[in-house]
Amino acid sequence: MSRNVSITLANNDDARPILQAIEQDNPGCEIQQLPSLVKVDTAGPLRINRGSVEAFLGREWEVQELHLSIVSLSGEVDEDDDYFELSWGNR
Amino acid sequence: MSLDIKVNVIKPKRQTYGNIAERFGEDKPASRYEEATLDLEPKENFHYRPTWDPSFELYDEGRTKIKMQDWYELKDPRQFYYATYTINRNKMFEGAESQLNFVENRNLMASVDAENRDLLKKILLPLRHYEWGANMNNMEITRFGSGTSVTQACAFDAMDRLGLAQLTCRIGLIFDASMEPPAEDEAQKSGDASVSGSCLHVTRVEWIGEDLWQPLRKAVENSFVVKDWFELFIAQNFVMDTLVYEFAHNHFDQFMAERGVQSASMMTEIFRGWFADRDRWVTAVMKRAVSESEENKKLISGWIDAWAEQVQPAITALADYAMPDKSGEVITACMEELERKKSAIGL
Repeated sequence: MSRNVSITLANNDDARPILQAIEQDNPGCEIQQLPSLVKVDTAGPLRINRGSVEAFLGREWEVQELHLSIVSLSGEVDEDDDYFELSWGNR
Repeated sequence: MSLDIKVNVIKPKRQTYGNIAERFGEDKPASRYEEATLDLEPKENFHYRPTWDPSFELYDEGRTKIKMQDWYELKDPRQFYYATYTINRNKMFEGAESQLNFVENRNLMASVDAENRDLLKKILLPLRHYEWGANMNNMEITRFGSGTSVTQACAFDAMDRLGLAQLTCRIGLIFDASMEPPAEDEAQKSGDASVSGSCLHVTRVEWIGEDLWQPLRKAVENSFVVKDWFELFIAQNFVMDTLVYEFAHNHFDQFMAERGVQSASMMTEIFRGWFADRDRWVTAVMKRAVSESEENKKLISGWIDAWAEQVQPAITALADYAMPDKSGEVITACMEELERKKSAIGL
C-alpha cells in the first residue's frame, strides 16, 4: 500500500511563496485549504527547492526558515542547503 | 466521555482585493506585494488636465517614448512594498551603522597617512552631491512614471539615495574627528567653535568649483532637465550609477586597499551591498522594457550610448586624478562592466 507524504503549513504571507514553490515543483500534489492552515498531500516525494522559493519570495531564503511555517509533516525528511524533501524512502 | 470539537469552515467570499481579482480571478490569494502594487494608479475619468502642463493628462502614459502594453509588467523582483522595504533597509543601515561606529571608535582614520586620507576625502565625499542628484531624479520618475510597480520602487530608491548621501556625510564627520583639533584660540579666531563638518563645506566648494568634478556635475545637472522619465531612469539608474559605482566603490576601493587603507572599505561596504541589491531591480525593469518591442530596444540602446558618452569623461577625470598610473585600464574595465550589463538586459 502506498502511503502519502504530507506537509502542513500556516496559511499566511510567509508560507505563501513556499506553497507556490511546492505547487510548481510537485505536479500532482493535492492542496487542502483549512482554516488558517494549508495541507499538502502527495504520493511523494515532496520536494521544496530553495531556488524556487527564492524566485517567488524575491529575496534570499534559507531552507531552515521553512520551520517557522511548518505546523505538521509526515514522511522522512531529507534536508540540505538547497532543498527539503519528504518521502517514505524505498521501503 | 469524548469531546468532539467541530470545525466549521467559513469560506471567505473573496480571497483578495478588486484590483487583484481583475487580473488573476477571485480565487487566487495574492502576495502583499501584488496587492500593494498592481493597478493602484488611476487610469480613467480624469476631469481636468493639470493646470501646470495641460498638454498631458494626469498619469499620462505619453510622458515617455517607451511603449508598454502593460506598465505593471515592470515589476520589482525584490517585491518591495512599504513594510518589506522598511524592514530590509533598517537591517541594511543598522549594519552600516555598526561598521561606521567601529571605524570611529577605534579612530582607524587617524592611522591613515595624510596623503591617502586626502585622496579618500577628495574622491568619496563629493559623491554625496551625486547621491542627492540621484534622489532628485528618482523622485522625478516617481512623479511622472507610469505604473505603481515602477514609481513605488523609484520612490524607495530615492529615499535610499538620501540615506546614502547622509552616510557619506557621516564618513566626512569621521574624517573630521580623526584630525588633530586646532588650537583653541585659532578656532575662536575663525569664528567656528567646532571643526566638525568642516570637510563637508570644503567638499561642497569642490563639487561646485573644482575642475575635477565639473564633468560629473554637468552630467548630473543635464539629467535634471530630461523630460522623458524613462530616459531619466536609464541615465541615472543604469548608466551613471553603473559607471560611478564601478569606479568609486569598486576600482577606487581596490586601489586604496592596495595602498593599505582597508579601513576605508569598511565605511563604504554598504554602498556595494546596496548597489548589488538594487541592481537586480534595475536589470529586471530594463530587461522587460527591452523585450517588449523593437522600438523600445532601439530607443533604450540609443539612450544608453548617449549617456555613456557623457559620463565617460566624468569618471575619466576622476580616475586620472586618483590613479594616474592605471586610469586607462580602470576606465576600460568600467565601460566593459556597462557593456556586460547591456548584454544582460538583451541589447
